Amino acid sequence: MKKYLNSFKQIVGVQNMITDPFDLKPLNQDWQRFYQGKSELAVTPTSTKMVSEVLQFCNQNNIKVVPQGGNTSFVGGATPVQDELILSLRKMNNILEFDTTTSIVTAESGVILQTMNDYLQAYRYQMPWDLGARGSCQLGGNIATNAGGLNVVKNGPLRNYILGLEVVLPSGKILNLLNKNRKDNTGTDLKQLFIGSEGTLGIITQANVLCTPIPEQRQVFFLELKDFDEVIYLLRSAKQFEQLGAFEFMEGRILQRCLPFNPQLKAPFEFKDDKYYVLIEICGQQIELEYYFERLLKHTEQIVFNQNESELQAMWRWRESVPENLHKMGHVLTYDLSIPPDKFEWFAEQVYYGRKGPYNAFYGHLGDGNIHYNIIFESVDEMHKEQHRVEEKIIKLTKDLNGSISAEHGIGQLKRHYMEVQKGKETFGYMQELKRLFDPNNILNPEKLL
Amino acid sequence: MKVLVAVKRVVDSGIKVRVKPDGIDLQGVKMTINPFCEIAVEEAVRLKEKKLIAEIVAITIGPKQGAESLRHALALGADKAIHVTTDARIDQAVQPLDIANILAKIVERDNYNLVLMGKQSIDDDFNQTGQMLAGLLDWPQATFASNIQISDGIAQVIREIDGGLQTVKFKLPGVITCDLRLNQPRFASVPNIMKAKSKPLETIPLEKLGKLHNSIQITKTEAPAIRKGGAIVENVDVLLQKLRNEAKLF
Repeated sequence: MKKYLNSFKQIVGVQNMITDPFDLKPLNQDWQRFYQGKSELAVTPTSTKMVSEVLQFCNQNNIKVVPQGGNTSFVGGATPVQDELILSLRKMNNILEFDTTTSIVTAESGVILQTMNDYLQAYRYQMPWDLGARGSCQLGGNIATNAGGLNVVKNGPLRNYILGLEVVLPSGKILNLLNKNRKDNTGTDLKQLFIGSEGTLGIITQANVLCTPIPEQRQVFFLELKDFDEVIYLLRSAKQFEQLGAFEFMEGRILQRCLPFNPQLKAPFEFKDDKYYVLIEICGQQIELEYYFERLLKHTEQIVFNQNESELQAMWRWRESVPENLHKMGHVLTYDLSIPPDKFEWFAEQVYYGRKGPYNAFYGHLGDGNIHYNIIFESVDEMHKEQHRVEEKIIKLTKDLNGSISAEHGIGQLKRHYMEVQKGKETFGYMQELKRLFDPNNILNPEKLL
Repeated sequence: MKVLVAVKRVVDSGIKVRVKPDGIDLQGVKMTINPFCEIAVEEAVRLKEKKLIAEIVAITIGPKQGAESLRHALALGADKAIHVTTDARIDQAVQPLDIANILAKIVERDNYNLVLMGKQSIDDDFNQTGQMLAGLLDWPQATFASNIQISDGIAQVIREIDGGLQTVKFKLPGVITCDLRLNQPRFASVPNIMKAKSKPLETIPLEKLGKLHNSIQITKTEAPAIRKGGAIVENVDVLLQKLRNEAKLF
């Protein structure tokens, strides 16, 4: 990389280069600290043209590139595997316009999700997807991973809301797929290839996103149920609610252990190991509480609900703090899978019979069939010993259930070796051909996804 | 033993307020029970659970929607509620001395052993009503309570004061105002909010109990100045220079 430093100085300017190892450290590492890259240079371009020139140069000189947004990946998708050049989108953080008639926002891909929402709030609109990493994750990264999150049960996938993209291809060519038309049936929708491509086909630099109105009212219910069948029964009722905003599930086994990590946080219940907890959010205009009281009481009497904003935030905090609290409990193996919702508990019991063995627990977006299954080990060695056996078992179970080995977190480095098994030889073959079409020199995010 | 808990309905502290020339914009804004009043209700419920008091009555002064805060108090565990109705702006025109006078009338009518209230409301921050009420009733008072013990008709209260903690003891009846660290109120449960509907709620128009004198007038309401960004300085010399020339500290 050293021999290219001068060339990059010409292309991006020294002010847009990071070479100090101390500054590169957080860029070389994912937030869970599973993956350690060895990049010696990161560039922070300030325009699409600059991104194009960087990629063109890299393509000509066979320099590998890792596009990086908020670096919040769960699967090592945004950090270098070796010493690839890190291309950070952080400085391309302008929101260009919001069309109040069509509710379409146009922004550069380095804008942080929370910043988008702060901007849109003045117009009473919000981004149609939401996730815990909202304070750090960027628009481009969200699109490149087809980020999931809390609103999928209400809004459907992120894909639905991307109307247009500007993408810089590995050759440096700028592919203008920007579009503010809600309806456009003019042949193959190329932008769909880039959504969820995890930075392997091109770098997204700008997007047109359809926004959704901020709900006038939000009401959160926290319920305690006796067994998993009751949870599924509740899910079936909740899916009939037109104003359903979220349906999140947490085992009592997890929440009970989270209590010491959230000492000041008001708990909706004295969480118990043998109980099951559901967070239901209702959002919309004129929420008729009595309607929900009546229907929810048919399932359990153990229901609390928020009387004000801070109680609403507290209830969500219990759900959102689960991943970080699990990490504080030990060394975590985490699996993000799609399986039929009614099979969540059965699944957990297949991995460790009777739920014995290391502490294991599941939680997640039950409303979309997206389970986050976690195993917590006391030592790294124990984790490494078990990892292979457990993973094989989990992948097989998922495949037998016709599920997905990655519901929302993507493939990145973590699940690459399962891709062919998951997709099948033929489908996987086509994916690889598309990769060769856009990136013949394999410079963009190598050793990820495919 | 019978306890009167006074609750005020205020703008939800979790939302951003909009400032208009004549005050905070209350139009369509989410309102909820004042956090310190909620702590008072919770304390009353805990005292009842310890069997130290037999009955909790919640009272509020305000418009029609004020009944929601009473229902919240009933759902948390109050037994009865009294709604003193007025259409005056509760964040401006319903002031401590007038409130204290009205509460005093109710106390005398119903014979309470204890009045619990929040130390202050988050909209006007007066921190006067409890003290004035005790004065009018000629009762002992303990304010900023962070701990309350009751036994044999004696209240022992730990107060949070600037120097630390002060413990006071007095014979009931008395007035106690509640501070943040007294307790953490429970969530209201759906079954309890439904039961709250059948608990007695008495409505009394304000004019039957007193009058609003509006002796304090609000002349101006403005938002705080926008905070300017800080700066990172390279060394202590630059810091001293900025403290002297920009912050004008010395």
